[in-house]
Amino acid sequence: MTKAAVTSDSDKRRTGTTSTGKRVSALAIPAWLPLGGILLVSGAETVRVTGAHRELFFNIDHFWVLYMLLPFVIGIIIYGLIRRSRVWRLGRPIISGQLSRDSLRSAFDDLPVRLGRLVKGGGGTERVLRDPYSGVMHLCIMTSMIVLFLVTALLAIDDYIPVDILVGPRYLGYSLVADIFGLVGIIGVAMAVAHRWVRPRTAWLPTWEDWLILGGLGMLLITGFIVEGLRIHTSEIDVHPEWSYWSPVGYVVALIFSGVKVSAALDIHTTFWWIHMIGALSWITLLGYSKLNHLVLAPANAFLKRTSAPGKLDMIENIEEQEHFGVAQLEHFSMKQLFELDVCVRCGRCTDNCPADIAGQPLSPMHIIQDLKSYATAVGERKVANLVQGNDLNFGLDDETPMVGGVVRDESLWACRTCGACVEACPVFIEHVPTIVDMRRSLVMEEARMPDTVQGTLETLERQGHPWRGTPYTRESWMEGIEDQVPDWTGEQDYLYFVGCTGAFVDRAQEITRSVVSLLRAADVSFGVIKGMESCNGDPARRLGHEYLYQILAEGLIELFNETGVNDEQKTVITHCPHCFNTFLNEYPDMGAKFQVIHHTQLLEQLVDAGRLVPSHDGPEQTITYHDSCYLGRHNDIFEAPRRILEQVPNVTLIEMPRNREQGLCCGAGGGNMWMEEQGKSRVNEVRVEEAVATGAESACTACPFCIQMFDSGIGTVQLDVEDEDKLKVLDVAELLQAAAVADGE
Amino acid sequence: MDVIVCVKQIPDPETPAAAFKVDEGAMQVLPAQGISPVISPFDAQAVEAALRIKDASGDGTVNVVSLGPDSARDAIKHSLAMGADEGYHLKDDAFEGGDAWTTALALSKAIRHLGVPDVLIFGRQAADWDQGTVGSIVAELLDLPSATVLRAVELNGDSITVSRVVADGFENIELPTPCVLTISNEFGDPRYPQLRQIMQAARKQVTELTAADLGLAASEVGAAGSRVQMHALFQPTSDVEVEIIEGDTPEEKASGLVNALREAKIL
Repeated sequence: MTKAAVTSDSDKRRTGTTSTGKRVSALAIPAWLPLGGILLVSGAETVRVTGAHRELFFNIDHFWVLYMLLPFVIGIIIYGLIRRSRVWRLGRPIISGQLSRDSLRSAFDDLPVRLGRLVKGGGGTERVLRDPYSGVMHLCIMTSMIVLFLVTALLAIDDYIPVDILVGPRYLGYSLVADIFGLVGIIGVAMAVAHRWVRPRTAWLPTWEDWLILGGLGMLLITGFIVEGLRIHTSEIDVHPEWSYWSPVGYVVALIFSGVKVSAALDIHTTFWWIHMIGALSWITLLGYSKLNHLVLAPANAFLKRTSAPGKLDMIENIEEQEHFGVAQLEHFSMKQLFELDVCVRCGRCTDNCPADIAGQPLSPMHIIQDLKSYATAVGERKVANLVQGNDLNFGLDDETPMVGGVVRDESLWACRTCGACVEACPVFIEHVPTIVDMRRSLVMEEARMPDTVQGTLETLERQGHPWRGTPYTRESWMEGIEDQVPDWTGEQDYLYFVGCTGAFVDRAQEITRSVVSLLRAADVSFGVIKGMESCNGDPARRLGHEYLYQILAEGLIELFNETGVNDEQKTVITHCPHCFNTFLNEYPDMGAKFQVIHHTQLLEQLVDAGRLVPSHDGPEQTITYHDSCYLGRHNDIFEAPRRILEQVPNVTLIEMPRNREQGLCCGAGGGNMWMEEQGKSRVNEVRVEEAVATGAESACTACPFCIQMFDSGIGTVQLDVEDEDKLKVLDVAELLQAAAVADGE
Repeated sequence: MDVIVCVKQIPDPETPAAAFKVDEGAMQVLPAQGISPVISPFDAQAVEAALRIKDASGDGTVNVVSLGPDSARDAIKHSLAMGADEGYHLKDDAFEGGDAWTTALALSKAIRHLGVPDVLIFGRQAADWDQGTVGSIVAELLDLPSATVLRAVELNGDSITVSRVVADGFENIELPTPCVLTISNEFGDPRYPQLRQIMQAARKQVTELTAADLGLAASEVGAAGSRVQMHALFQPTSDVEVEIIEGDTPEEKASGLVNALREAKIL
């Protein structure tokens, strides 16, 4: 494309001698955006007319209107985001982790981790791609937008610098890339539109936002090609057809228009050019007013997401001095939690992965976030207005539906397993679990409103120091007959084996406890048990929302650990319960814990590696599927230790369920649901047992006493008609290893 | 409407059988390790009933009285956390070793001391000894009408309509005030205290009253005043023998069962 082919006054404009050219600079300089710099350069533009090239603003008059509009567009976007940020700022000034004077600075702790996540996760390449269809769709749209933005920017740069970059072969390659990515974008948009008609599982309906964003983007891409095609038709195809092949889509469009007279085509070109440009500027304003804002907010949220273990809940410090407990109002959330609501793009992946939703129970993490987002829009804006007018924050809001119990229903909050599948799945890094537990805290501590089963569990924890109401056992029942084989903790040993409540009070779990003791003895580990004096570490109370009871229990246990010499950097606590493990490891340091923590599967793996346990006894040939406990796996990244133990047991073939490791499905017991009545279509444990049975494995192995109980009870209903000997067997990793590595009678 | 509730602190009835121990020589129940005593569940329901009466009447107070050792304070604190207004602790070495009679005597004196309220509420029985007599004796000592083992209580102007649990159904009764009521478990679950109330209750003063404060001589209360003498205290042993009745058909099994029941003289 050369100047010679064009007869319009755009030639004159490109020389920089026309009055319009000067006016552009004159009008843009007062503008408050860096654009000014670019426009200054425009005053010094030079004539470049050699080689394969295409002309900027071909066939377009008054192009400067665009430059005039650009500052307004950017202003509109920034206004939208600032307006929204006033709702975020209603929250408590905690960005990540705990409230402290320098809480803002805490958002920059672990900077390398955060930056890594910003690039990998925020760049839309890591989690988004896990769902193949949406991943490809998103990749198409994202790369298309990025490339086309760069293409446009490069064209502008090329236009304003004295050297020509986009000339000759370089220009042709450039044109090809632009065409390809335009087409990729159209494919992405088409996939997104199709996705909204045939949605996989989560029932969500596309709203005006979806159609506006997708329709707008599709329109931009199509008009872009029409403009290109008309330019080629009117100025290139006849003069340099060989150039046109490098714009394949534009070339096809040009062929379509080949019957149109050049003069008419130029008119159509102008019309579509303006539609394309004004459309682009209007569309981009959605950045400040719709979920298109995830272009900016999602990377920000990837950066802001906590860097501590995902299974850790924030402590309420100085709890006795708090004015409210947990979250009942928007302003009780942290700024980060309110910000996060706006990051949600309603992709539904959290809900697709939520065990409660999969089992048809009344919880959809996506809807919780979306309902809170709508509430934050409606009520949050009014709270902001109250602040601006100097009114009480909640002035005139008495008749509003309560947030907790109204906007978010109690049963949804109780159905949460805190398993973290939603947090793991979220491509924009929303942390649903702390938000849900914060609202539970309000239900329990502020309103004392909870299911009877929860109340019973909390009362049992308060009175008896364990959650197992009605148990016929004591803390020492499991060692009946083997007392002399269980060493007392003296403070001299390396390891304290913390049996925990389930290991002591539930008969099935007592077997695991005895297996662990037998293995530790066989491997000659220096360990002891605090007999009869243990108490719950508070995890169930904390997950059920009773932070105060958690702190009381934790203080009591730390005191016991202090008195008995456990709370020492040189000492290690072994747990076979992933819930105890998570609480000791991630949450007890806040309470003053100094001891090390190890899960029995980690220790057993070390002992097998060191040859101190040799799984040599041949059992029957069997296929085993390993079920990941959420608090061991997803929350604490221990996926391989238990699997490596299983792989070393003779005659065992390990097979995986489709949902495994990070994507493992909860057994249904997490978040205190071990002690709750389930509501809904089916039970989570039955869903999971069906998945295990479907692998064809003879046994399911796991490393959590809750999972074992949930599996056992699920098998009772799922395999009701199956003969006992053919039913799925459920074992703890320790039990399997004990059978293979410890001689009978030891 | 003013209400007084009498509550008792007892060993947790949820204590597992394996942890329950009796010192037969001293004729005493040994406290189970690691399990704190609790407010008797029926008494917690009595507090719930009192709070509902106060709520329904729109004004008045709910005060709580308990007789017992230091730990009885926790039962009072629990009631305060549930929403009761004031707590009174009858605490005196002289009260030790008493029976239902001496307890009722001391409680009735305390209630006179505090002023007889519109309604006086007890749990149907303390869930440790399960005698279920203190409420009725207090009603007799104060010469008040009473209704026991209630599943529902409704305010009816100045009178009160209640529903008693009886062997073959329910009995609805109307009582004038003041009166004495004892609440049964059918009444419904007591409320779980809000954290704020627990904290307020922890800070609240509990008034202690001794035998002398109530005008009682040491010889009238505690072991000295007891009318019940204990002769032995032991854990009953229950031996269960299981016999599986074999048979090829259900009919055979059934006839075998009938024969076995006849032999045992049950049929």
